[in-house]
Amino acid sequence: MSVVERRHGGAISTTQRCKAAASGLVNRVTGAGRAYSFRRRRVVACGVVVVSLALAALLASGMHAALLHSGVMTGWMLISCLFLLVLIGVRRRIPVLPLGTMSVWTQVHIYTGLFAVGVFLLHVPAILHGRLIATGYLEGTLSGLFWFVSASGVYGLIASRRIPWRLTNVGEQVRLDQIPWYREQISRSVSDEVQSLTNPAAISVIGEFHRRYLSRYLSSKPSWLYLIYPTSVRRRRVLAGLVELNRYLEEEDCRVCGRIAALVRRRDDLDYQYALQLRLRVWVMLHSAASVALLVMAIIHGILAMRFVES
Amino acid sequence: MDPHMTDADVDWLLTRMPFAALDASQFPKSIPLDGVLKNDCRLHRFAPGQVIVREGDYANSAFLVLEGNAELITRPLPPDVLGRREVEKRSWSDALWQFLRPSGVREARRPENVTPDVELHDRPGTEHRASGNENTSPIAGDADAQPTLYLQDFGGLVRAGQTARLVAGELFGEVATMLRGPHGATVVAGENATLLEIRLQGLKMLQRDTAFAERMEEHYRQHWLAIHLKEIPLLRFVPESNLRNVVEHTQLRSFGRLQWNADYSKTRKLSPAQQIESEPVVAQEGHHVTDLIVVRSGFGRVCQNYGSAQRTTAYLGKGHVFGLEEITLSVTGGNGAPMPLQHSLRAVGFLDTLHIPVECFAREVLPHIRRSELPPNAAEAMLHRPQGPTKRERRSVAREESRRDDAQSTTEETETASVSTTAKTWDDLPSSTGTSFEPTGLLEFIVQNRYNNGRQAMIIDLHRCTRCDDCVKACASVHDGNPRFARIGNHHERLQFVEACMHCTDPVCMIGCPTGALHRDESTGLVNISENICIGCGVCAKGCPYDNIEMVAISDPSGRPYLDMKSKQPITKATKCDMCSGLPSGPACAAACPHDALVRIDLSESPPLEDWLRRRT
Repeated sequence: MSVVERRHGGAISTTQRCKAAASGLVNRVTGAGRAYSFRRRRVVACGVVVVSLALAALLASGMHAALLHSGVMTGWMLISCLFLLVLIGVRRRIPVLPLGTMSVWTQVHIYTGLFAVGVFLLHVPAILHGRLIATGYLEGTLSGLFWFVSASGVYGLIASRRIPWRLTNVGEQVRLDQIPWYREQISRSVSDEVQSLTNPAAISVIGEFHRRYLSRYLSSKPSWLYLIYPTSVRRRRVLAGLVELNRYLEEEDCRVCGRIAALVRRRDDLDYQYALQLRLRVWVMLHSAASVALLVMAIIHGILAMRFVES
Repeated sequence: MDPHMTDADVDWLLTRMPFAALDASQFPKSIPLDGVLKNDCRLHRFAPGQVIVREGDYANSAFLVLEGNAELITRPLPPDVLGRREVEKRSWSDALWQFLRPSGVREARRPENVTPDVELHDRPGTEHRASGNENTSPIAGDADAQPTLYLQDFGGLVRAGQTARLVAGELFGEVATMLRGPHGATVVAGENATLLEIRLQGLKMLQRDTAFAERMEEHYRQHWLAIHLKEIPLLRFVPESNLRNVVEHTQLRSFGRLQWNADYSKTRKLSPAQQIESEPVVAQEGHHVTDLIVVRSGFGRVCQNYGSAQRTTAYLGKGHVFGLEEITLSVTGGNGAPMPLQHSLRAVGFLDTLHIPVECFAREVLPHIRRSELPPNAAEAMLHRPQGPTKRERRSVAREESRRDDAQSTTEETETASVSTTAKTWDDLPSSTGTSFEPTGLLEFIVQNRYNNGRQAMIIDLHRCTRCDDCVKACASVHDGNPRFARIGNHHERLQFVEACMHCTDPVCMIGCPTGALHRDESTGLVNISENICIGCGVCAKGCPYDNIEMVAISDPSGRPYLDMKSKQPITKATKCDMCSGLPSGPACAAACPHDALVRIDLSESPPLEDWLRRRT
């Protein structure tokens, strides 16, 4: 029975199904079978890093066996990596020159960073024995700073992939510098809605709510806590308060309440956008400042270490 | 068009050919012939050497020589002769030097970038003839008077035989106007040149006269059709003798309204179903296929009945064909019966088409099309034609069969394909979060907003964009602190279509530029602005349906605004994205994106966008 006949007859064995599923899974994971994809790029780059690290480890163990300073070799490797990692900032600031795209530089930055972490483990063997931070003031600070930069790099990689997705799902796309202006517009719109009320009962009910809660909520900037961990608690409380007012209002005034609730939701969305966009920018700032500090300290450490090695 | 066109001018025109021969009864009462001449035409008297139309300009009017003559320059003129300044590629050292020394002034320009290299003169004004009086008198204070260009050494070109004379009664520029294409040559006024400018609406109305329409079509068929057919990739191997037969049998058709940009703001707000419903049908799904339809200009939507509505499956642009698969399968015998059209074709805004009858296509064209250029089903059908394959084709059949055997013997591969097909099918479904790539929705969004006009559209993948604005900062850095776009624009699911110049296939902004400052670079296809001859009239900014051109007041490098000598008003210039064409690095925006989120992409056909989206997994 040919394959085609068997397929038509639905007689495909479980082994073949499993093989096909496994093959499909491998293709999906590695991006194989396609000319180019992010997935394939990721797999190839990770492979290159693993092979490079294996070679570095082999070289270091060879030098150690030959009673040579393997630390000097790994140190030079690390400082070269640091220079390469910091160069991305230079490229970012010079867009006029044909120095390659930032996308390529970012990929090089990510995988060089990954390689540097591996080399750092080879360079500071104490870490493999359970000590995360090296001993001594300079070395301890240096290793602490290295871990901070590495951790912030990993966080940045995850954040730069996850946060855009979250920002897109919020709906409206707003630029960070325009958010204060939009906030003001929302605050003004809510005030206009309240001013437009004609029913005395509604003026007293909604007016009081506006005075006591809404105006405070709309005129204030989001708290530090919200910026660090944005939640919908405030929005839910304000909206619940607005819903509560409905029982004291007539139908027309309930509609005003509904419009105000929509504006409150919009304001919360803006705050959410603000918190996430700000987080990305603060992260870039912290990561780059710490990287420069790390490079400076690494150079000092290198000079001192070389003096010791020479002596 | 011209408020100064008098009844006497119209009466005089009606005594001249070709208007004297037109049958006024063929024009509707609401738009009579004299009304067309009065409202859609304008009389001009040009001085010798004055440029009437420039090569490469997108115009909205044709010209009829009434008196005197005009000279058509038969060789391409260097851009600087027409006042245009080509963008020079800067060396990296120059680029770096300029980057390190920004002027610090908003929209600063050096004096040489404000003044033209050529002499621009104010057009002397529209001139009119009084009835029975051959004397002309210029109208004072003509509101539309705009600077015009004089060609240097015009006499030398005439003496060297590099011009062709256009005499009274000859019409030029009508093909460029009707097809929304660039003028193929520069035309300069000769002695005592009096010309009638007929704008597109007028030209279309005049074609209500059957004889006039036939004469225009005959002229196009004789001089242009063969050239346009040769430009179609599918017909490039057709021999001259066959092409002549194709020219003879091809029919020319137009659908929709040429000024699609005028309705754009209204139609884009309609729902896809309403918009599809409002578009004129060019070919109907299920009907018998009679012609191969070739898009000459404009845009077409390919759609298919689905439930009680229609869904978009593709869009067509200039040079694309419709009905090829059905014709090939019908001609080659397929399953023995002629295949009806599987899709409908509708005009999006405006569509100008060439219709090659099936018999003519099968006889003259099909044998000269490479099989690789045919749709897969049609290519396979070609191999199994009823009359039996030729010697060469027999080899292809054998190869095809052996390939098929191989495919059958590899169980794993086929199974994998089946699994991946299932996966792809699922990928096409909208996800609960509404963020997956849904092909029909994206196609309809692109057509609805006419982004398929863009050849260098800027798209941002919002799932990768961290909103860092590095693209805008890079753009500002390379343009002396003045960004040429802002990160705003419509978005569909995860894709944002940024408001930056798309260097369109149909650059409506270029229509009506009085000095030809806005022009398309022949080598790169980019729409550039020669700022030195831009007079800041704002026609382009108003004409761009996407609002991608901005008028800015310019200053000198020390911050003092340039003022117009006459009006004492600040001088403004049109600015837009120039794709960083002067830089050694290419578009700075795309190069500056660290997360592969931004791309400049050709949307005139769908494969580049599909490929780009496919990579993002």
